[in-house]
Amino acid sequence: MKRIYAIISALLLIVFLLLARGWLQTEQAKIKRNLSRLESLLSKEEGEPAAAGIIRANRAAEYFTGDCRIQVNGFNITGKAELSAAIHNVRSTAPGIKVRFRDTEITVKNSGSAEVYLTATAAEGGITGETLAREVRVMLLKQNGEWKIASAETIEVLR
Amino acid sequence: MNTKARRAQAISAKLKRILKILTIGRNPARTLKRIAVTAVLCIIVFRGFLIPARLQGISMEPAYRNGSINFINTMAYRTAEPRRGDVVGIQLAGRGVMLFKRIIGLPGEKLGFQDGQLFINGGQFPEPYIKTESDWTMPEVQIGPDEYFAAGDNRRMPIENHELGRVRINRITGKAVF
Repeated sequence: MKRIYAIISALLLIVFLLLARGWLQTEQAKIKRNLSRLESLLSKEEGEPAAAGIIRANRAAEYFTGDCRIQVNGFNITGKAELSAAIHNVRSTAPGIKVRFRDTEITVKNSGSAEVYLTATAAEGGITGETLAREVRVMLLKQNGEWKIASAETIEVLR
Repeated sequence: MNTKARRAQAISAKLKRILKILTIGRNPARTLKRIAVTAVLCIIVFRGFLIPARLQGISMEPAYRNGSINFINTMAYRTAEPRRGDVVGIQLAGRGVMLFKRIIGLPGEKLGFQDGQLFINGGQFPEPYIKTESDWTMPEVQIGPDEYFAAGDNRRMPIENHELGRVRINRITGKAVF
């Protein structure tokens, strides 16, 4: 009987810790988690089915606001639909891409907006392929309790 | 117990002692202290002064191969300015990912390329570190007072695929050790 009580107590403790994790999570942690999910959605495993690619591109676009503005290497993208198509196009041209966000520095300006500086790297065909690295400034807005990317622009370090 | 068994037991005990000395030393407390000091020193040195870097890409070939390991000395420019020919680490959002380039232009200079030849302030400038043929052509640019011009060594790459340009001094993290 004592053993059952111990198991129930342990389970309750795990449930409490999981709930507490959600309640205690800082805004920075929420943004970091979103960026981590986004980098995983932008990455592509070799041999990924075409249908999965479309789904992942649409899911990646969900992390952006409806009227988002993206300026990457001189290319301008406006709106979620255009962004989703652009992500799909880029992902479909390479057999595999590994996207990573490094050196992330998050500043929550007030309860509704945040600014992030990060280095985005994209390695074609896994770690051994060519790697592109860009510093990116990202502005986020909180919409219905979720952090969404409102704008992202690359910063030219070598001009 | 016969002599043979006793000898085997003695050898086994000796081997165990040697193994113990080899792994944790004669004095385990002293070994732990040494490990702790070494770990702290490694963290201080490799996080603060000598940043380890693994090169990715071919822009610095043939001098620096894709996948090779190097270190960036962050103390190099504390007392001196970057010099032409120095290979430097250029910081992006942080020190986790850096660009690895050679300084070819200094503050205030005018720099351009014509048929693979580097021109500085209107005069042709030899580049002894360039081992490959090049057809790079780029109109002259003015380097600002707090800027340097950085480029890779691999001039076989088309210039449009190569990352080069003016970089602000505060972006230069340090000098490559090798």
